[in-house]
Amino acid sequence: MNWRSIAAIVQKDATLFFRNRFFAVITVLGLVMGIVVYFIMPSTLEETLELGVYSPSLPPGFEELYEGEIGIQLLAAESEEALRENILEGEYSAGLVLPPDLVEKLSQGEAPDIKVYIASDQVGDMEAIVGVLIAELTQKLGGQSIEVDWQQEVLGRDMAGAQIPLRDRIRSLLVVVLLMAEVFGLASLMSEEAENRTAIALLATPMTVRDLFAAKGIFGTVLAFGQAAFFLAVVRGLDNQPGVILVGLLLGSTLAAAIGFLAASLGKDFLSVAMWGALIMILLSVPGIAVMTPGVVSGWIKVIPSYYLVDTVSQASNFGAGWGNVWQNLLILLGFSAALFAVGILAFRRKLR
Amino acid sequence: MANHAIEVEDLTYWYGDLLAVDHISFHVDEGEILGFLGPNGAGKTTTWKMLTGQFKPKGGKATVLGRDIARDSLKVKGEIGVCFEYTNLYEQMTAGENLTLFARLFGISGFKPGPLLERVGLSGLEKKKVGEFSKGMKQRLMMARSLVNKPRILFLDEPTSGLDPVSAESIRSIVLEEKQRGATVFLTTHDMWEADKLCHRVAFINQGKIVALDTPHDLKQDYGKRALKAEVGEGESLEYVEIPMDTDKTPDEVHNLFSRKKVVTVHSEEATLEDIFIKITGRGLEE
Amino acid sequence: MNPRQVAVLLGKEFTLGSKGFLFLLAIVGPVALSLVITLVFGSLFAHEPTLGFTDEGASQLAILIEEQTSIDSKRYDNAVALKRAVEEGAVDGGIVITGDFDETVLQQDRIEIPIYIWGESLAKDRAILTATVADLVREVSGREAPINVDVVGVGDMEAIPWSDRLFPMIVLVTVFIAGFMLTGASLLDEKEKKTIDALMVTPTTIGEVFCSKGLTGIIIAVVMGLIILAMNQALGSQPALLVLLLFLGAVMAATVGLILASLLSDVPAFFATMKLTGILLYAPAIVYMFPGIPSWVSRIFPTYYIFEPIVEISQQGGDLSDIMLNMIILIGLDVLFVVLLGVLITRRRQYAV
Repeated sequence: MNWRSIAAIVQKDATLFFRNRFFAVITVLGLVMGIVVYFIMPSTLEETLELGVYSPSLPPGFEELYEGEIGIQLLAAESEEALRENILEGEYSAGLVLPPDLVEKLSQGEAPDIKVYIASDQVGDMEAIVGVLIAELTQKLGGQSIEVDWQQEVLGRDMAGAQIPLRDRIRSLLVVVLLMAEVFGLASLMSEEAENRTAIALLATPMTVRDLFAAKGIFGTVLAFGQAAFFLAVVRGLDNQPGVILVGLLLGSTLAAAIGFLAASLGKDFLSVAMWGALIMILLSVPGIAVMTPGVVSGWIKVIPSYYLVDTVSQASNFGAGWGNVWQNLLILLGFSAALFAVGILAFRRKLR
Repeated sequence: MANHAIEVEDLTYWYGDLLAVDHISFHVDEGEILGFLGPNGAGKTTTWKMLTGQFKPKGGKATVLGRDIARDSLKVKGEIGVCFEYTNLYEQMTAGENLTLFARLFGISGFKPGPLLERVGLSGLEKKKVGEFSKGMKQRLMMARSLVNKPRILFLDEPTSGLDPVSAESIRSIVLEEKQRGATVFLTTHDMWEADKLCHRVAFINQGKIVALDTPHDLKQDYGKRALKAEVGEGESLEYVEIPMDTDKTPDEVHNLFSRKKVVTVHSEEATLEDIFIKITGRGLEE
Repeated sequence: MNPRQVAVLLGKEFTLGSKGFLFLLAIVGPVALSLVITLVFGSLFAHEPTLGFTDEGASQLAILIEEQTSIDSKRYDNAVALKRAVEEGAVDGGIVITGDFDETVLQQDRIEIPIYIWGESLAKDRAILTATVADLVREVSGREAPINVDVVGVGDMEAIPWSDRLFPMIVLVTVFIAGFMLTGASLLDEKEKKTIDALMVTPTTIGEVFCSKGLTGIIIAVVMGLIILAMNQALGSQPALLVLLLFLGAVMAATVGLILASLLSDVPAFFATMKLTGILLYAPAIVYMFPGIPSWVSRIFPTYYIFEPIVEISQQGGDLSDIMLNMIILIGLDVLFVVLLGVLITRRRQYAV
């Protein structure tokens, strides 16, 4: 391989890419928007349903009913008015007004009157939930008519009290979108070379086809990797297992470059390359969506190469998974990259001919 | 006196600070083939674009078929045919579809592309996508497209540029056929041989001005000089000698040539249009 | 403007365009995006605690679970499938209702219920699931304690389901893919390939070319808009009014696309600028998704006047009088953009092509 030729082409591509103000601005803007999206999303995940409670005479031990549990919290309000205020301000999910003779009525088998305040735009969502919680409460206060003993078996890592906030879940999706956007940029650069026949002109020098593809692959990989790594560094995605994540990103970047070759060989002009790039980008983003919405998209996503990148980044950055946990992902990613590079190069070579 | 198909008076165009066409005036008679010669950047294409209604003149006036091109361009376009230097066909459409589309734009109903395709040497290719054509085939199709409306004036911009000799000759034949039909032809070209062969008159344009306008014959008479060119010598050491033919010294020099040297070849040659262009402008057509 | 010429060019647009990728994207894109947006945002924000279950003996509990509104439920064929679903996070928790469950509940005062819990489920969701099932168990046992619950809505915020909140985004995307992207990219493609020069030497005006391109985008935008509305069961009782609104929206999209295309020189620049302007086009729809953001913010953006009347008619049962002002503003904006396009064509006539 002629590294001097390769370096010359990489430099040329970098110059052309950033000289094109639009692509340069869009690249930066894409990064900025990804970072903005991350930071405007909530940084915590609310795991506790806070119920305000007011009663002229609260039953003894009422506030300790859910002590030690993080799913439900009962908070005493000073007055019914204060209860309503706190609901309007979003402090409570709902407010209960309990009659002073609640326990008495329950023990006599009579129906106590309980008023429930819910924010008007949440009545539909909360009414049934509050209903079952009130039933549960009254059972705890009035004695269980039938006692349910829950035998809980937690499957997977128990994240109760330490949930991953939404914005950290979305990180892996944003990274994939950033990388796959590079598929678009790289594919159009390569397609232009083929269309304008400048690739032929390059190959009339002491540069081989291998050198040309190596240069394109290196440029695409470095550009994609640089953006993804920068993004993750800014959104604190490299705090855990940076080595694992960076290797994953590198392999993901080579995957993006490989797919760029494929898209460039499929399209005849910029438009068709752009469309292929867009279609491929949508497909490759699906695993990122799946990470955010578990159970919505099931096992078949493992045939999509980007799944292994998304899973690596998610597991390492959110759960601290190390080399031992993700080595298989990295290996599969490497395999996909190599295979797609080979196919992409073969296809693009045919196009050049 | 023949009617003027094209009449240009003080025509001017500029791009920013660059005066591309500098107050030119000329006319083209009906049925005439006028060649417009000049190097790149001389103003040929800009003039051509003004006459075909693509650019609006910024100064002066151009009348095409009796109509002011700036005011009545749509009506003028209905009667002219234009063949561009660069290919601008719909490559995803077939040859037939490309021609039919333009026929419809010219308001021609019941158009059948077959005969026209046959005329340009593309018979049987009506249903073939243009993207699969060679350069020569595309240029022929471009020519066919310019003839769809049986134009009164044909505007051709470098029609044989980059073509193989067979395709180029085919295009020239069509130009002559159109002339026989009575069409006027306005032809821009670099190819002085082609201009010499096809054109009734040629105009030399340089730096936005017309520097000469006459028949090729008269231009050569006025500017050119005939010469006798000979190869003399033996074996590998050949020498080239040129003797002007129309001077007092010519007979003596010819006598000396044959008596003192071994003459291998000899022929007379008249000035080419390029020679004349260089003489007039100080630069070549290819510069 | 010669209608015959426009008709010829329109025929060319549909004949030629239907072979191109852009057409495909304009048709498939909105449908696919509609599904993706609903999937991602709907799943993220409309999350209810989900209980999976298997029923080994036609238990009454199973029926009650499926009728319950405080949770979502999914029935599985067997315990293995149920456990896998919990592990994957398809459900927050899962119970196996044994064959003799109903009998046991009727006879005993204490019942053990094994429950699988997904490790990443929220603590409050776990609490809601267990409280709900416990309440239903009591119902099966016939030993519920009577309670009178009076629910009072607090404040005057309106409840908007998440599916409705996503709707404007879907409508805008549909209208703009066809009206804006297809139109603009198609014009630029002709400019790049110089086929527009060929059209300009026939008795065709640049206005007729622009008109045919705009009409193509408008027709496809309106048709796809109707399809998307039908898919989302949002055709309402005034489909004719919806067609008019879609048409007016598509006019805006098409003229903006043509304006941009006449200012730019190539398709890559168009796509790049499209990404930049995307936030301006879709901002009001994003604001609509989050009621916490004051609604006046979205009124600044022209596209607000496209989706707001459509939402009013299709989702809120409004009629012409409810949308008259916004529709007038939309018409005004359309006129403004058309005039702007006309000025641009006239001034840049020498260079626009």
